[in-house]
Amino acid sequence: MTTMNKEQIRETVLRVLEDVVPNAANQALEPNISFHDQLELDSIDFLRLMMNLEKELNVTIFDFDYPKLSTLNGCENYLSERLTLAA
Amino acid sequence: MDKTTINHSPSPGALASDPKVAEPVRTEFSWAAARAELDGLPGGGLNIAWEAVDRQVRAGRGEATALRWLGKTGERREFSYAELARLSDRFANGLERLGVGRGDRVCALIGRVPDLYITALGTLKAGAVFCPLFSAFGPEPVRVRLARSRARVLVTTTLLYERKVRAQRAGLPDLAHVLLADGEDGADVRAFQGLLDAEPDDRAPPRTTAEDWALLHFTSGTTGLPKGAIHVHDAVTAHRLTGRSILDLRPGDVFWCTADPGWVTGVSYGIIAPLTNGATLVVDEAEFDVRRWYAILERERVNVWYTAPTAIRLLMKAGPEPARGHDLSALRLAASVGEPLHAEGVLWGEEHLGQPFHDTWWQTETGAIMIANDPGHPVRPGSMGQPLPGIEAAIVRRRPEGGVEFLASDEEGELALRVGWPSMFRGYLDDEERYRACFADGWYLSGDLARRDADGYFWFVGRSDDVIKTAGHLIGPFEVESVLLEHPAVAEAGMIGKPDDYAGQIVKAFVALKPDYVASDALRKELIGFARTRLGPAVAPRELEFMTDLPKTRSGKILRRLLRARELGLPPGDLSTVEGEET
Repeated sequence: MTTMNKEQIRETVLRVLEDVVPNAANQALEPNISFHDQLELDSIDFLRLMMNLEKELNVTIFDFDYPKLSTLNGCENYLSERLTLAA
Repeated sequence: MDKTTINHSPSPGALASDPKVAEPVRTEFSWAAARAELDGLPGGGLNIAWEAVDRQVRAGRGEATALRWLGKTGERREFSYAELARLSDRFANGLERLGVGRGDRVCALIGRVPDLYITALGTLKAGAVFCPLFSAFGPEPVRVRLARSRARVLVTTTLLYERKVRAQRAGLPDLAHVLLADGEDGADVRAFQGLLDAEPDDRAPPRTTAEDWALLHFTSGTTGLPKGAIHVHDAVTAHRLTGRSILDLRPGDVFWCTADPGWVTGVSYGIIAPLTNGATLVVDEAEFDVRRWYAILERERVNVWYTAPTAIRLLMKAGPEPARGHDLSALRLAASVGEPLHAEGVLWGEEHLGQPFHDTWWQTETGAIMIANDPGHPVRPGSMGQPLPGIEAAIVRRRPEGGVEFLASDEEGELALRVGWPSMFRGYLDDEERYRACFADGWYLSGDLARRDADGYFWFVGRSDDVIKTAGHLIGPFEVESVLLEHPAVAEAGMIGKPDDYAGQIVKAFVALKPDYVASDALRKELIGFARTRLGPAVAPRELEFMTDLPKTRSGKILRRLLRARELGLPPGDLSTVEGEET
């Protein structure tokens, strides 16, 4: 597996997010404020985001870890850790 | 009030003699007896909020905890029955000072925070009508509901007001007062807290009657704008009774209803049923989170839990690991509502929570649980359960010439309820025609298709119309399609419910473009984004597909039935009927 740097992870998260929540692209995301608070992601949106990220990055995100991925920075940190472990 | 009394004497009547109508479970039941268990108002009359809080205070239970609020960031606040009584008195006094009273609509567009509960109870005490709006609605559903309810007061937060209401305020001439739970007095808004602070916390008992309007809940049909279902104070008779008989609520129980009060469950069972039964209501402000939910069940020693299939499916997806190690021994009863819960979900509860989920069935229009797997009988996994005492249910077919015919066991048909239970809706606001269309031969026709087995258990089959349930929320095609049609690229739009492993169904839109537009991924995203911005995440389509033409009747009505068949890869059915389908 090729390792991704944080920048690449961030780009992937934003791309997947934009697919689930297409109006997200118009907004400047604050990296430490939850997607829910900024984009009104509901539970189903969030689940689709998590499942699409798993597919896109070929990584397992445990359901009980979901809250760690509620912000852009949270996604970046968690996924980079998981990808490093998997590499 | 006696006109709504149903006395199930065993004497032969039209119903008792018709073997196709489900027998009431307890023949000695009467709504009059259920009503007699309420206090009523000191001067006569009935009031939901009085039964919910003041009654408990008068019974010497004022210091018991009524509401235990768990904030998103770990904050925790408790309100005793006496405090809730005082705060709701203050809010009622405040409304009166604003000139808001009997029959006036007070809307709430706010998350699960204590002010919401104070608003609901205070509004009812003032004799006004409480109308909750789901905070995840976008500006358009909010505007439509504020306008249709002719709301005089809106209780909301600064953020929700700025995002969803402020720009449309000029088009809402009836909306005289906006109260911000977290804001200060401003040019066109007032601080909710400021209003409370200015008022004394005592108040004469309410002066409502059992048939005065109390609650307004918007729901959706296939056509037209959302319908405002009106409920009266007498509904509390059913709320209290079903809270006790179906949810087994006893004074001192800790009860957690996960439904948002933006929808009917969150009011009937998220506020009224537990308080009228003297329970402690747990309210969690946060969104679904597996670990958090197990922690709440354990730490708060939840005795009775009322949740929904979407949440149960998400718990199942997370697997047994997160549940392990949690002491859920306080849990005595688990129940589910919102859409049918499949048998696997029922049994999963038994295996991993120690309690099977008891599925319950009811609707916005019925106001309270009508059919359920009640705690007194073994759960029949996958079934809706049996009609409650006092509720007569039947499977019927509408006759083309009017009226209904009753179907036999195991035949599929429309689920109907004999008119006469106290929480039955009393009208759709300003829409007498659509209200009347819900009834035939003294039966309420639910629009849900079901069958009854030989043992008297009901099984959900589907809907007879084009509304869908997504994550337990009822969405009508009209709101979704009409917003898509506002986009310059869209010529035609049709919405269906696409099966989804977790949400039950998700909203999927089919769109035909105007001649100058070309289908592309960018345009697909633009349209979904356009719809989300206006409708909010709860209503907007999550998927969208382009078609050259949408299937239509000769008169131009979109045939969603064919869109559904296409989505599911099913044969389209008898196309010869297409041109004649005009209903």
